[in-house]
Amino acid sequence: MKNILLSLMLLLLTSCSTLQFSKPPELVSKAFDSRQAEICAQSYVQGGWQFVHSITFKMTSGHGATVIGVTVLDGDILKTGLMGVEGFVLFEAELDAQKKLDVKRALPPFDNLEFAKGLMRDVQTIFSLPTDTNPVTGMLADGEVVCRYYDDRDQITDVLIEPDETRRIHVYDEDKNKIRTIEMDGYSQIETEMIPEQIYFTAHGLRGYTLKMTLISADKI
Amino acid sequence: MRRLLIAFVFFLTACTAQAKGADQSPVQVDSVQANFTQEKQLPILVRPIVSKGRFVFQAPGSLRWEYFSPIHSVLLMHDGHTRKFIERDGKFVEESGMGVDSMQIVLQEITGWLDGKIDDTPTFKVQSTHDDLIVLTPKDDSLAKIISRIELKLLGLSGLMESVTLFEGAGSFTRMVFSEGILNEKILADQFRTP
Repeated sequence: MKNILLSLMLLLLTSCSTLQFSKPPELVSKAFDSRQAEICAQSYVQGGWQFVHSITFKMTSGHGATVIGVTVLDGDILKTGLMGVEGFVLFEAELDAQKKLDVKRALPPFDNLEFAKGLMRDVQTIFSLPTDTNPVTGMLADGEVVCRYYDDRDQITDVLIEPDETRRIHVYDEDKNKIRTIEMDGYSQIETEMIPEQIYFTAHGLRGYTLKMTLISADKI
Repeated sequence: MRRLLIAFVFFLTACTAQAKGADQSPVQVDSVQANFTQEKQLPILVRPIVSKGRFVFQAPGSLRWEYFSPIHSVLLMHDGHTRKFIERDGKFVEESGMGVDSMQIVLQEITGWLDGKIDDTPTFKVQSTHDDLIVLTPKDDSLAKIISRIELKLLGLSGLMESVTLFEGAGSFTRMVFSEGILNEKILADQFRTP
């Protein structure tokens, strides 16, 4: 009985520790710096693009799979497709300018509206500049420069630009819990844009997962 | 999903049966190997995704289906077992997303094609046959929603397949064009055991 109780306590403690989310760091100096805001905005691709990535998905349980992901940024329209390595289309959806989601194809296990909404939200977080046109710009305690965007749901998106111009993104929900981290690496110039070869995406929380996205192709459209 | 997997491997296995479908003079197919270039087209793509690979088949049910690019992956079927590997950081890692039961059904499809029963498959019916083109449509409505048809193009009377095109929906298809095909050459079993 003692062993069972101990095990349960340990399990509870472990669960509690996984539920601890990071909070947004304080900005030691903040003001609206239009130049800094422009640098943050420029770290996102401009205009129409099509990206094809190899995506390795891993859940906290260790289970995962590899798929091919297609992302099309066409003005205010976002199109996404997921394919098996062999080419089968598993999921295809479009988010129009009015943010109306149209799921064109969804095969199990992707035939779930919540999955579709979550996926499109994640894709937007990676590729689309936040809608807040007046971000707070400032500096973190360690000297990193940040653009802090607020959305209409009081969600925070911190965009951090490194000295080498690589970009990191942290997203905090309305309770100020960190829910997403995106890191980009290995940039190469395609057309006039610097495109990351690798994107590391982490969804935090008990049902967390990671995506390692490796660029296969990038086309200006 | 299971049916999807069945159908997908199905068009590969078709390569082993085309000799009979083309000229009605049965060619005993013990093994087939070929390189392939796969073109994936979707309405949202500005240019198709091109994959390159090789497949090796040995009757009665051993298959090595390997993509070299853009993602290096290997699907192995042998002795009733199915395994899939993806190369990550220079090493093959086994992925367990595919149900073994699905692949056992796929193997039954392979056996059927090797018997030359091109119009007797439980999953597809031959809609039309002319010259070197065979068009197959799913018998089941639920599968038809995923795959509208498959076109098999034969390479004359050589006993080899020229191309297979799998149509998924409006503007969405996968075309595999085969090259350097070899028929009935001895293949070491190790090819079907390890990536």
